[in-house]
Amino acid sequence: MQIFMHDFQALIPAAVVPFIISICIILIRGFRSAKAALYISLSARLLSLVIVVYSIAHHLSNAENGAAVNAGTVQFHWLPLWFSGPHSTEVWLNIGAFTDTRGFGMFLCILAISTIGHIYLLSSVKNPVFSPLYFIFCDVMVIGLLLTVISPDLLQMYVCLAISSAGAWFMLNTVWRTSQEHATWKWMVPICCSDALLLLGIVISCLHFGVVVSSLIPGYSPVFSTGAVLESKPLSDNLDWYDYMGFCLVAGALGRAAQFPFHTWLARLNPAASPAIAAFAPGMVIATSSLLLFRILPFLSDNVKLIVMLCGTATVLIGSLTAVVQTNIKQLVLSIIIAQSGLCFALLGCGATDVALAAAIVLSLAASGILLTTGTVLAATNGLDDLHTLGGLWRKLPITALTSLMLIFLSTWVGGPGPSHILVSGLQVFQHNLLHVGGYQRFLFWGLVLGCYIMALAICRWWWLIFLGSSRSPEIPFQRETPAQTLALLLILLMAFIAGQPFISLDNLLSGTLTVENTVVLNDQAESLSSMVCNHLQWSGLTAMLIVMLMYFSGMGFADRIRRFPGLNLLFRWLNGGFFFSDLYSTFIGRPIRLLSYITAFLDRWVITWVLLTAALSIRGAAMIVGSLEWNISSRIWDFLTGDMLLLNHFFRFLRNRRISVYIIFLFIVLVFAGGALGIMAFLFGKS
Amino acid sequence: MKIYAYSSILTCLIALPGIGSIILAMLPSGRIRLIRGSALALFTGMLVITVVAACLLNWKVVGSDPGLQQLQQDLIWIPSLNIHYQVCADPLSMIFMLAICILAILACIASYSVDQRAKIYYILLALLSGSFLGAVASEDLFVFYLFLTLAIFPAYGLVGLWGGSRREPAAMKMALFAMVGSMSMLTACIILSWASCGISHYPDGTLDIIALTHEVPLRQLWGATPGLHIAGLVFWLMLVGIAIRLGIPSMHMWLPDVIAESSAPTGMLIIGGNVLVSGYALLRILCPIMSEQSHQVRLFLILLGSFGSLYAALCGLAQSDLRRMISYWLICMSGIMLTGSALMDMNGISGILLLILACPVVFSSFLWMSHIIEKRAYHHDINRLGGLAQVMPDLLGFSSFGLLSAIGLPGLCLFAGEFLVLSGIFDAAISQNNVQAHWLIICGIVLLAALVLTTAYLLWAAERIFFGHIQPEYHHFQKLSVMEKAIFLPLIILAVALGLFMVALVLAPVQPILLDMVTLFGK
Repeated sequence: MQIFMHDFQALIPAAVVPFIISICIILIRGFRSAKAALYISLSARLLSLVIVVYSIAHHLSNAENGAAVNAGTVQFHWLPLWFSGPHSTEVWLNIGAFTDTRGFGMFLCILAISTIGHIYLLSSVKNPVFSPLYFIFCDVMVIGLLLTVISPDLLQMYVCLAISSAGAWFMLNTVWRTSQEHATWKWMVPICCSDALLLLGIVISCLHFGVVVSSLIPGYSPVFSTGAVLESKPLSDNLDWYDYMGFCLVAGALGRAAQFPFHTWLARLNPAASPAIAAFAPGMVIATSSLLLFRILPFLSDNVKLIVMLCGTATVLIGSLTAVVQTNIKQLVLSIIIAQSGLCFALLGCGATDVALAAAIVLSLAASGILLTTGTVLAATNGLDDLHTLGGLWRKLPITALTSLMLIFLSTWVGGPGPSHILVSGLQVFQHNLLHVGGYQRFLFWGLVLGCYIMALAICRWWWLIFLGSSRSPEIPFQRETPAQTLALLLILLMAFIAGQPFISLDNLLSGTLTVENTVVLNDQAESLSSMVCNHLQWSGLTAMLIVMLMYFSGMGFADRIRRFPGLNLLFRWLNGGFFFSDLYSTFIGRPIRLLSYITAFLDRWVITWVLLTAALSIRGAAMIVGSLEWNISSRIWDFLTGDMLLLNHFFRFLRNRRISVYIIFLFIVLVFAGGALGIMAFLFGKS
Repeated sequence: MKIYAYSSILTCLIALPGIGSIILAMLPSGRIRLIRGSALALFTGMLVITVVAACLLNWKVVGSDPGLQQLQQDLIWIPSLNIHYQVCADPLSMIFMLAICILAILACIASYSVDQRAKIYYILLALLSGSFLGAVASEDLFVFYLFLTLAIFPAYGLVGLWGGSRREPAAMKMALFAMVGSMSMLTACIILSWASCGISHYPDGTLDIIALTHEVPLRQLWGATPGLHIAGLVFWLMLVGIAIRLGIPSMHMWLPDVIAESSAPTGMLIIGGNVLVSGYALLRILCPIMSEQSHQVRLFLILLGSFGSLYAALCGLAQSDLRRMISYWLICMSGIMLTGSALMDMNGISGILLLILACPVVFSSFLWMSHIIEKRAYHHDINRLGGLAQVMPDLLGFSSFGLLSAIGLPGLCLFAGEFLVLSGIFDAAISQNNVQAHWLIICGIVLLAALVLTTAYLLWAAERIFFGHIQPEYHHFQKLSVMEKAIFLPLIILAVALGLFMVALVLAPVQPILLDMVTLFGK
């Protein structure tokens, strides 16, 4: 039975309805039990999955692969906008839904991560850090993320991303493990800044491209949708605006995806509980951000795309270099996530879009699994998070060790031609498209390849130091893994493995690429060498594992060795010291703003108040003086008249004791004297 | 055709608080429940009459024709000065009246814990809401001034008698500022009345807002060039009068003190009502009547609004007192409203209309949150709070709507207004190819920076209040009572409704009026 008009229409209720019901039930129950809230929330996810599975089944039987599909009979006029200029008119921003197989893939990926995260929590929900609030905000975040990937236009994407950020912020705050004063809002601020830039870019894009008649492109929202804008003609010939817009949009996407130079915020998530980060970071940073960049890619000029590639490559290098010297198990995985996201962005920037999206799906699943592994390790060791203190955990956590190893293989391109096929395809397209970028070619390609190797090295080191060898903290009683934890890890491994397999051919499923123009034609000898390297990159994981093995048998990790070299010591300190840029931002942006705010507040509270107070006091003083004068003068006059003044008292008493005629005589004498004096003066001065 | 039907309903609405106050005054002082119930009945009656008036209003009959004013009552009051008691309604003013009534009833319910001098308290509350209603319903500028000035006295009493420890200086400061604003507005009224003498149809001059807007353009009042200077003077006087009430940056000094010292219910009505009435004046009086003067100083106003918002955001970042932080948030919003009004296009006007209606909702939510915290912790110092989500998860749940609205989360009430104002600035910048365009871009970026800073300090404050370690003395904090939740609930509904259905609820009914205003600006 066909319930919906179209297959993908099912995604709208799947993204919203179960979660809203879940939130309402938890609210009505009055925040009583975290366990009950978990079951309610998990049921919502399962219901959503059922709807999506229905959608898949129906789609596979009917729809064309990779085609853009409009699911948007659910459109309502949300906000009107008016534009001046040659096509001055009113347009409506609609809320609706749209997806293609790319968005659908991301949808499934996010929903899977979220569901498995909840299954994982079945074992740790007794931990007091998890409250019903956590599940409410987690649901809000998931609604935001799911709606993002089926958004028909950029503005709606922005709206949904903002909702997901808000949900994530609250969710992570509710499960903050340690006291991190002033830290949680700091990681939100870069996201808000990037959101502001994204919004600015959207506004400019809207104003720049003007209004498109929606009837030309059925199903698209008339203003901001990619397809509509591609069909439109720019109203302004001013190309500067085009670049401003592209820059703002890209800055927004880069900030949200924790790309260089906005990568520092992700490290601040470290103190939050692992399952919470696992629900947020891969879905938001890798999957959704990659799709966001994919959607805005048609807006971007070549210059801006080059910026994307450069930032992506720099992020891969910085993320992997940071990871390789980390000793905190969670921080290391977060660095890896940054690097993986950078890889997706670099591939997107060079035009290997569907390969990048396929990589984003596989990597986000794998990253989520690895983060859950850290959660299991932390639970088993009562919170030990230093690599130097761990070791030999495979005896206590055998399934976790094995599963995480396979997840590492997936995320480091080992384990057969599945994910490595994606990576090699992407790098080939990357290499091919680099022909157009001139002087940056070598940096971009080799930076990316080197970054992948270092990333593999870092994550292999992580696994080795945690699970192999003997325990370095034997005094601590280790706990065994729980069934819920292992089930969640196995599920996520299964999904990531299936997604990465060549028979699924995820990249082709997403779009039917690689297209003809992206097929690599290698003539140059140097490019052949590059090609050879990138074809062998699939062995990077095994190579890394070998290196780590050597490191392990020769001492306590490569990072410790690095420290002994004077030059590398500085590098180590730079990388290990909180991403360095974080301090830089704090010094040059955060502190000046705080200082400025204190000065402004001081000015507003005290200086202006004192100015006002001084003015008020002056007025009051003047009033007192005038009042005093008035009182004194009047009283003196009265005294004068009533004869209380000391000097004239006797005289006036004398006058008062006489009759009125005495006053008249006195007045006459005064007038005579005054007249005489005036006459003499007039005579004297008039004559002269 | 003038619609005179039910012409006295607005007068009834305005008079009801006064009559109700007399009845309240006659009740025995010791019967607090009776007083409370009567006050609630009075405010409910006001809401009912407003709803009836809204039902009587023909929402489709709007336009530039002054004859289309509805529910109008026009009585000559001072014949020698040609001052009329003139009230009327149209969809725009009706929306504001409804908002004031809802705010008043919320303030009344929120005052359930007021026991001391309850009778005077509710009388002042009723008089204050009646004054606000009268100001919004008035069609005559003098009547508007009168009601606006009348509102000062109950507000002074409410802050001065039921506030915090430094309530008296705060009340005095508010009254002085408001009186300066009122005097400024009165001077503008006198000049306008004097200058409009001899204009066709109005030999004795007029202060009819509709007539001044449509029939007597200010530029024609004096004819000659020197007249424009006087028109400019009138504009500035009127602007000062409105800006002080709205708390626009540079004239905001009274606002932090009043918000910090007033009790939550009175703060809701005083500040929320002030925002509504002065915002209405900005929309209805300043921009349409003095469109030419507004246009002349447009860039200055935009600069003042945007940089003022940044200033307020910076001040907000440095606050450790929750109430003061809320006040700077409101001042920042006032700056955005000024910017939007100065844009004088549909985006700007629609944006500030949404902001004016949304700000009291969010502000009330904030104030109620601070009241609940203060009731339990006996202070509102953010640095001394922390971890409240552990003991009061319901407070976080309910107040998060206000917080998320304030940081401009799409789908809640403030986003649309902010987005429209921002779009208006860049639209103006792109459509102009002159020097102003660069300044407009700068203003847009400054406004964006102010919004980001606002988000930063609100999140920081939320983190310090709700998350992290909880102080041992806060472990005994009780969860929200039913009454406390009951205040939050309508605010949440309003925040969501204004965020999602702002078109159906606000913009669609008033769109012809707004278009009319924009046409006036174009002239």
